[in-house]
Amino acid sequence: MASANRKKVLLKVIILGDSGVGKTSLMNQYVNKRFSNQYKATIGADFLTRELVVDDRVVTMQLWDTAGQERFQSLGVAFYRGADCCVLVYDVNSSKSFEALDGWRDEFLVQASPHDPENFPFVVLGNKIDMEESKRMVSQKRAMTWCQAKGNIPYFETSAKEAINVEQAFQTIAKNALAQEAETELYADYPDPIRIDSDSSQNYGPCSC
Amino acid sequence: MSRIDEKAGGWEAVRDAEVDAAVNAHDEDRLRRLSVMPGGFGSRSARCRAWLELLRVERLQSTPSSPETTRFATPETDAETVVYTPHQDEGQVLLDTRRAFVTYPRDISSDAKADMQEDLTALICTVLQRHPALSYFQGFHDIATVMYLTFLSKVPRPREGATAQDREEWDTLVRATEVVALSRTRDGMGKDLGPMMGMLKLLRRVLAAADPGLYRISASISPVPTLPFFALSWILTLFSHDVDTLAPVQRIFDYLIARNPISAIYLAVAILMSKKRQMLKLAADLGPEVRLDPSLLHPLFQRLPPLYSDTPDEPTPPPGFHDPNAEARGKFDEPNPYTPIALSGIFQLADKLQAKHPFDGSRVRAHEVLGSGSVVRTYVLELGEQLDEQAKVDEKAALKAWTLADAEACIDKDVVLPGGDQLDDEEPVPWPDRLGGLARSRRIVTTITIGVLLIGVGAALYRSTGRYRLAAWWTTFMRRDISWARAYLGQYVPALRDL
Repeated sequence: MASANRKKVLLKVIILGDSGVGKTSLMNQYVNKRFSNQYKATIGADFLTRELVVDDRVVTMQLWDTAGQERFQSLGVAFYRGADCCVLVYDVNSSKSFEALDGWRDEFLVQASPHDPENFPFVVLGNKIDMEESKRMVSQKRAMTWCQAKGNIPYFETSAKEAINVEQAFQTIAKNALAQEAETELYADYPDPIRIDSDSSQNYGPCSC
Repeated sequence: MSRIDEKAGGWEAVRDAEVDAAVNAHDEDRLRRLSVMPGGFGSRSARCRAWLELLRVERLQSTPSSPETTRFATPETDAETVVYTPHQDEGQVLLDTRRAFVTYPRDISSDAKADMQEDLTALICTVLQRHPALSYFQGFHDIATVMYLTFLSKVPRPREGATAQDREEWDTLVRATEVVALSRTRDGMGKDLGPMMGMLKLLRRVLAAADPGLYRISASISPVPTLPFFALSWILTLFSHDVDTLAPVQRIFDYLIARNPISAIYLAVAILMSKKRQMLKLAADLGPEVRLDPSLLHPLFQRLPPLYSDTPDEPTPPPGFHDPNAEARGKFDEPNPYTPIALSGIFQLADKLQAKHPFDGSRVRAHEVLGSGSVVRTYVLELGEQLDEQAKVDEKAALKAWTLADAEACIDKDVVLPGGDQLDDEEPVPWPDRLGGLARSRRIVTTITIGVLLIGVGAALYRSTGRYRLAAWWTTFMRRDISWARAYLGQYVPALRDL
């Protein structure tokens, strides 16, 4: 199974964070190399894909964009499951969005229920560093301290608007996701008797005739 | 400031007269019939009158039934003299209205847009402040946008020198939006989205009853069996979040405002069925990766086709209507891969679906999901009709006229039944799982392909010898609910695709 899977690697990445921190903008900057300050608010979830090379392997990264308002969080389970990496985004000019990271991380771990929550790869992005320094509310030191305390989460300061650090951040995201995917394959390789025969008699198509 | 112009087409004058006659007669049935016709409620001003009638704005706001209702300020008392406490969700409102008016109206200056965003914030916050028990959801601002652009004859509203008419229009706008929040989208404005999960569960059942093949595919596009989340923004925002131009979304509002709020799920299913053929072709174009990861289909499900607001004069899109590269792009700047579909046909299908699979019938079973506090239940109470068994018992309750205060009291009260927001249906969720299913489905597809070809050859032979029976059976077979399989098989046998 693993060898068949070598041909094509699909990495699933979930992007979480408070409303308005720039999740959609970061994705669009990375995938379409464009910025607009006029993206509609995201409702539910949607994704973009981009192919890239990581460690000499061509991988397709599926980036899932999500709604920031808290009431949409509970929908997570449908989308989070099977994720290879989770990106937590906050706005360096908003303490509230930084303080919410704990909640987003916990919620993700509960809903995605990865095999090894302790070592599941997260990446933190502090976005909107293009704004003037006087508006900055969260220092780099404060953010890095949090990331270290949570098991050395890689941290990047980005600007989706000016394309600062976006490419680098997503390269790291892909790399860590790929490592996680390899891990998942190990689990998938265990023979699973239920899976093999459970629905081989199931009708897939014109059964309703 | 730009005037929202009204075209004076021939059909429009006729339609306006029909709408006015129905409004004056308080004839909701007639309005319902008009709402599905090409052109819908006609001009902007006729549309306003129809919406006000169908939202029952006068009735709900003019019949106080308890001292509480004095809180619902009348136009006279309200004119910026009543001071309300800021609502807790105003921060979120601001984050969203800042991103409003993105795809329409076109050609407005950035100053005008900023003023319009300010107006929109004021509109939403006024509604929330008057009814603090409501919670705001992201996407309500899209609904409010449609209300704003429909009820005001010029936008942004004048910053100074507002006339009496300007003030009256604004007041009407606020009152109508209040009713939309409390009578139509209330189930999504409680403490969480649980009731909307219930609605998605019902949508799933309607789809399973109406189109089992499409239902099966829709059920396979997320990593775990789940509710059809791709349709959440459709039903939560009455499609206003996903439609990129004003005219079609106004027509959708014509349709929905004229009906029980449950109608949104039938409309969603009608849209899915209408775009199915195109969707399966697009899915086939995605290649074998789809079978590795069916979630690749998610965007195809979620994306609405360009919805064409057909009129009696222009029943089909004029040439050049749909240029995927020129028209308003979706959220990620990606062109819409679908070709346009006219709305009247979709509305007719939605009505048929609702008649065939009523929400309290054996297939949809809304009584297992929705409680007495849901908008779907209280919609009929608004007319004061004695339709509810409980109400018959409690005569006093039956006689009491329904007001917005009653609606407000239903927030978070018995909206969705315990478990009604959970996916616990027995409906099977098949189709390839991520890896194991691949080889299996290929084998099955091959088997079916061979079988289908054999039957086809047999049919042809019978036909050529004058025996039509098998040929007729074959035709029936192909017309039944297996068109998804045709598209699927079409990857292997291209000729089948266009059957």
